[in-house]
Amino acid sequence: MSVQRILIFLLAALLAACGKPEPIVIGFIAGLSNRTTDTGEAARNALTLAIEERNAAGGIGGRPLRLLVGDDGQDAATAHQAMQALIRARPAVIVGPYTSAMADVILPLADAAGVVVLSPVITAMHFVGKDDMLIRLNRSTRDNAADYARVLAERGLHRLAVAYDVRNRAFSESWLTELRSQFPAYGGEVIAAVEFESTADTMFSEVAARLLETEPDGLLFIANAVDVARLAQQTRKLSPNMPLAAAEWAASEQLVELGGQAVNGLLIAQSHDRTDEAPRFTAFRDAYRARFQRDPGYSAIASYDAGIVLFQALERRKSGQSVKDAVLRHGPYPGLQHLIEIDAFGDSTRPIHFAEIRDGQFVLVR
Amino acid sequence: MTLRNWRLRSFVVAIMAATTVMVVVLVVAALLAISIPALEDETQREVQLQANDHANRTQIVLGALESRLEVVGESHALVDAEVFAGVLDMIIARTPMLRALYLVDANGRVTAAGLDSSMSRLRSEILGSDLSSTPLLRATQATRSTTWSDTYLSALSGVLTVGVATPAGDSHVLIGEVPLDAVLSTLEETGSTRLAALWVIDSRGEVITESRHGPGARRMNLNGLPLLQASLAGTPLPPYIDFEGQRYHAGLALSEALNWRFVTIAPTGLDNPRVSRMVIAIGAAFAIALLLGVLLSRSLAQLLLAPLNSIIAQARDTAHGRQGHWPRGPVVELNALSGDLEAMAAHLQSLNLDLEQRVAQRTEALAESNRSLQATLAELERTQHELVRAEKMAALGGLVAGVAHELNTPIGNGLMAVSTLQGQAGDFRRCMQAGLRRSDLDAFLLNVDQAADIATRNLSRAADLVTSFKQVAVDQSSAQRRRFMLDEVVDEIIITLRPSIRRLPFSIETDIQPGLELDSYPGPLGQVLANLINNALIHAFEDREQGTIVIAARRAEDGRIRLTVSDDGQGMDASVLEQVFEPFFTTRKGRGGTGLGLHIAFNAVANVLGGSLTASSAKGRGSCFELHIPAIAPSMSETGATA
Repeated sequence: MSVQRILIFLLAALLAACGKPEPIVIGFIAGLSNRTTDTGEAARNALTLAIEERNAAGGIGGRPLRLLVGDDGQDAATAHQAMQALIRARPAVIVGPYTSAMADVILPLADAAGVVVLSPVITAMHFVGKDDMLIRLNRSTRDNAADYARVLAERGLHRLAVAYDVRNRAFSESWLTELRSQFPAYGGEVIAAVEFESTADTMFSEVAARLLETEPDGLLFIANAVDVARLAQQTRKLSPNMPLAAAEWAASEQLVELGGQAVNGLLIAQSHDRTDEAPRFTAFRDAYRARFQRDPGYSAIASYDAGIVLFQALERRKSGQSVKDAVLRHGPYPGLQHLIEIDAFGDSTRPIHFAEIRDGQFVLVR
Repeated sequence: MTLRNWRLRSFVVAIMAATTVMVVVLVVAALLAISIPALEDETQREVQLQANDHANRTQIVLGALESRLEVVGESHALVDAEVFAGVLDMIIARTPMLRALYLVDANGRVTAAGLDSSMSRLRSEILGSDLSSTPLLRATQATRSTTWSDTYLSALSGVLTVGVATPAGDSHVLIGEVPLDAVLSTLEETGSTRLAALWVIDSRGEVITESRHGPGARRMNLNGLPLLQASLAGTPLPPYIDFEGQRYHAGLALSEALNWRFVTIAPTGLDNPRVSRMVIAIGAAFAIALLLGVLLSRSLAQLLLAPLNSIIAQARDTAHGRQGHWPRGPVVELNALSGDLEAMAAHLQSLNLDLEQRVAQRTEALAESNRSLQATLAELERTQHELVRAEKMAALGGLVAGVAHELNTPIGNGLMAVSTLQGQAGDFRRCMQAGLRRSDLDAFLLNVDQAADIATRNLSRAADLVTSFKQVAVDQSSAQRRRFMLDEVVDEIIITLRPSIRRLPFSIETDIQPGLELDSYPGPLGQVLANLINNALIHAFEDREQGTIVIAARRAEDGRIRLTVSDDGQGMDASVLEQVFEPFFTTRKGRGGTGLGLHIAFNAVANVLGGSLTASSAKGRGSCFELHIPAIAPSMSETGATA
């Protein structure tokens, strides 16, 4: 078949000589085949939209952008494989991951390959204040836990029982630690913390029962949307009126679909303001709806912001300048809802909005 | 531009090879140009057919599942709840495509579930769960008809799945979960070996499943592709898609019942196995044809060239004078060429011999005429020298006559005075015998004084003339170089000529710039002037009553001397003027002219004085001869005098 190869090579050389500009590869990694598919898919959709819009406007420096999608499967081996495949394609930057557990797997590979990893959502303290290839567009679990502590206390939930997913231990334990250290300042206390593993055959009814045994003022779930929905379902069977809250990780649009009536009244923080009627935001929301028949969730908005950041950084990047340096230096970036300022460690922050689910809708609370 | 020189063999091989290559390339190009689009069209049609086929088969298989669920759903109202739950479990056990079956009441609560073995322990959790917000349930409740979902995260199993929901009784809904892998295995069971890869895409653009070969799109949302946009908009489908930098033939079939789209894609161009097989086959044929063509052209060229080469070798031998046999071969034209060359060689040989003889004859004749010409030339030169000498002698004769005539008067006067004195001396002696008176003595002494004075003056005059003539003679007979004043020499010349002019009604005037000193040859200059003056006297004033010759001299701007001898005689016409310095040219042939006078003058000016002599004239307007000579003459060796 070497003749065929030669012919193909000649044809390829001919086509290349015709001068189609080489696309800039943008890598993407998230969970797309498992229980975090909701945030992963929304994030991928938003980045897809951002790239389609950018390509329609001529790409960057005349070069089109090409999205290369990897699925981490929320599993170390799968993530390792997906990441290596992405790195082989020599991406300018990789957007992702969307869970701290996956960041633990991915970052060493990115550091070794010198590829910038731009994570729109991860918050665990473990990644804050480090000069590595990771650039974060979200605040930290410390900030989030502090806000949660304050809001929960204001709502009279002082004795809190917590269930947390150890499959994403890097995030959930960081979150829990921060809550434990901040909550007492508002007169609160974590009276029970039950760990569970997010799998298909986890008995959430048992987790719920153990939480309720401690007779708490309310329950807090540090888990993804599917697990929060299932925990809520099981909790409601045992205690229909128990106040519920969930860490921001679960705040996807699917939470409502999956939870049904069970998540009614659940308190959850979101990193975007879904009531925003600014034209820039509504234009994005409408475009997203038209393209994907869904509303954009927090991971979609954060990922669209990631697109804004990396397009501006790549566009302003001087020849010879590293992508990381370009991202750190060419800010601030006009995010969809806030001005994104990235510090020397590649960390940034963003506002937080608390909402309660009422009749299948996220309703902002103060 | 220089053309490269080719060897005939290479040239013939090159032409044959080029012809072969050109023909083969044209044939290959034509073949490819015809067959590739046909193959691509065929692939395109097949891809679309496969999409339809996939959609139909899937619809049939899933339709069967759907029917089974509808039967179960309808039975819900007929059996009690416990039996119905058992039916659900039985259905799951007998239907490998289904993972779970949920019976959902009007509030969205799961009231019964049929679960496969992997999920059975979750039964207690699943029962009572709330599915009221799931899009599939909502859609089914709204339409009260069987509905297939997009991919979704199952709230109960937490995995990506597709669901089918059908009404069960008046208020309930039966939901079945079909794992994505089951959809794929359905397709693989029903489909044969396929050219095209398949993507099954839900209404949101998410890939439900895809064939294992072909480009993976499972993680992508494909609604952005123009093909799917066209499908969504109901516009004509483009035949291609560009996916991850490559172009594919694409077919799309929409399953109305499932609301899924089946997209089949197959590579285009050389990535299309059919096209690449065709290209390789044609390429191989091309290579073989080329190889055969080149190899054959070498042997064919050899066939043609062998006789030609022997003809060329024979021609070379013949050219070098070697005899040999002119070859004959199988090619008629080459044999004719060989024969013609042989005849030509023979003809050339005889012509050559003939030519040599003729050249010898001509050479002899030419040598003879050359000898004769040389003799004539020598004779002529001798005659010319003799004539020049005769002319010189004639001039000298004229000079002697002039000198004699000139001396005649003073010597005659002196002689007369002396003879008168002799007579008076006789008278005085007789007086002395008769008695000398004082008056006689005084008269005698007066006479002696007078006679002596006359004799002295006339003899002085004669002596002066002799000195002068001697000078002229010396100058004319020997070309001696000296410094002299031009006006003096001109005067001397005129004096020598005066005796011959005196009898004639013509005058000579001079207009010489004073102080012109020359370092030159006065003899030849005098001879030139004499010749010019004689020429004027003889020719210009022929049959004239009067005439004036003017001799003028000036220093010209270039420092040379410009000396003119002009007359107001009858002049010359152009034809005469043209030849006037030619030797032996004369208008007085047979009347004493030698035709050498002006020639001698011309040669003297050019060769001895180092200058030039020119003449200008017009009929009836007189003539003017102009000498242009340097004040300091070149040495004789420089001018190489001849006359």
